[in-house]
Amino acid sequence: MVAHQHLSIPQFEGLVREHQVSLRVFVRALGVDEAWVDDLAQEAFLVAYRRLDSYENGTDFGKWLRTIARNLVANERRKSARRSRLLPSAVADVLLTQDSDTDFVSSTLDELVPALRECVKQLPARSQDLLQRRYTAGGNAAAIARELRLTADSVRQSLLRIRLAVKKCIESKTGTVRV
Amino acid sequence: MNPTRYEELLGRLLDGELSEAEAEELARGIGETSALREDLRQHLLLWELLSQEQAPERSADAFVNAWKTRHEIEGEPAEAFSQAVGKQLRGQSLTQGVVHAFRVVLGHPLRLSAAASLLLVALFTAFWLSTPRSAQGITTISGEAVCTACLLHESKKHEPAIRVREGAEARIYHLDRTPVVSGLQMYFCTGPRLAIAKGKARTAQGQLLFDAASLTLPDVDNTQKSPPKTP
Repeated sequence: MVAHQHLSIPQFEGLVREHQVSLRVFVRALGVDEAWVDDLAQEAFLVAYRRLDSYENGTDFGKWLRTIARNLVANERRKSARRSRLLPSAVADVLLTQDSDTDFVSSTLDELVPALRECVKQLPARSQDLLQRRYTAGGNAAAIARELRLTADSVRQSLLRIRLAVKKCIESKTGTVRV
Repeated sequence: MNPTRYEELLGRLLDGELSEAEAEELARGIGETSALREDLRQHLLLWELLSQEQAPERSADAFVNAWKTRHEIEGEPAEAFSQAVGKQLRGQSLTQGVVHAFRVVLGHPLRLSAAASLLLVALFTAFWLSTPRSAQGITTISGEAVCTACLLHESKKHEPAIRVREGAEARIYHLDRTPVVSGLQMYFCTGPRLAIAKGKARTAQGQLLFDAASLTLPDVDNTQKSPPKTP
């Protein structure tokens, strides 16, 4: 087994692949704006690669990564709102400071992902279409409303109802979503 | 905070439409009630997962490739540079070298005058190269494809740009809307990703502008674009 401190780029790439989902959801749950999640998570991996010599072999690599990411997010708070990659500062403050734990979900993600897929599949076609427009095409409520000739408010309401229904469905399959 | 109001604010937050006042209100709610805080975290997690599942530009491959690109752009040149400089300086301290050079140059008035002329030429050349202008020829820039709205948050209008990092600083080249760039905006919105553009740089109203004659986004297939050839 190769010690993490001596990893080549292709070897480290394996770790990026292994941990990218859990790191990205962790970063998002800390209050990072959705448009900046990947940017910040990539930065955490870049920092991790540069500081591999400070990683203690045999310890939880995911937790070490999350600590780096958490510090990066905390640094974001020092930036002006215009340059910040976080959600509105008041909300981000609460998410960052109150019970945000680096002992996080990675194990439960294995359970969550299939449940999420299953619950989305069970939605009516129209709801699946809305989710697709929101998350595949990246449209906001106003843009989706224009495409479907609806009001932005009705799209927001529908998206909210769908989200609540999907979360309830997931909880019925997996128990509480642990964050 | 009552559940209906919380859900209303939650929806607005998840759609990126929460105002500052609403954010304050939501922050108070989740700050006071741990169950709401937990619920918000769960929603952020779930919809982030769905976004990763559904958006092709957020797939594992896309993420890993983007990371490798950033590593190449941000990491290796700096390391290579420091290694190269390190080699040159090994065995001779920088101070010793500079003192020796001054002794040699200042030892003769003609040498001093020649050195001053060379210095002026070097300064002018450095200034010329560091300031893009329309009089300059075709140049190639390599950096990250970014959107001025969704990634840089500089403007409301989505405009393509290339961010070129130089140490801790970054230059933003705003791309002209030429045929070469058209149709590729989605790749700028879903970046940052490696971009190589060939064309002319200029400045206007304090902004760096770039008229791309060709544009390549190596991690996206079939994006190399050049203007259509005239028969």
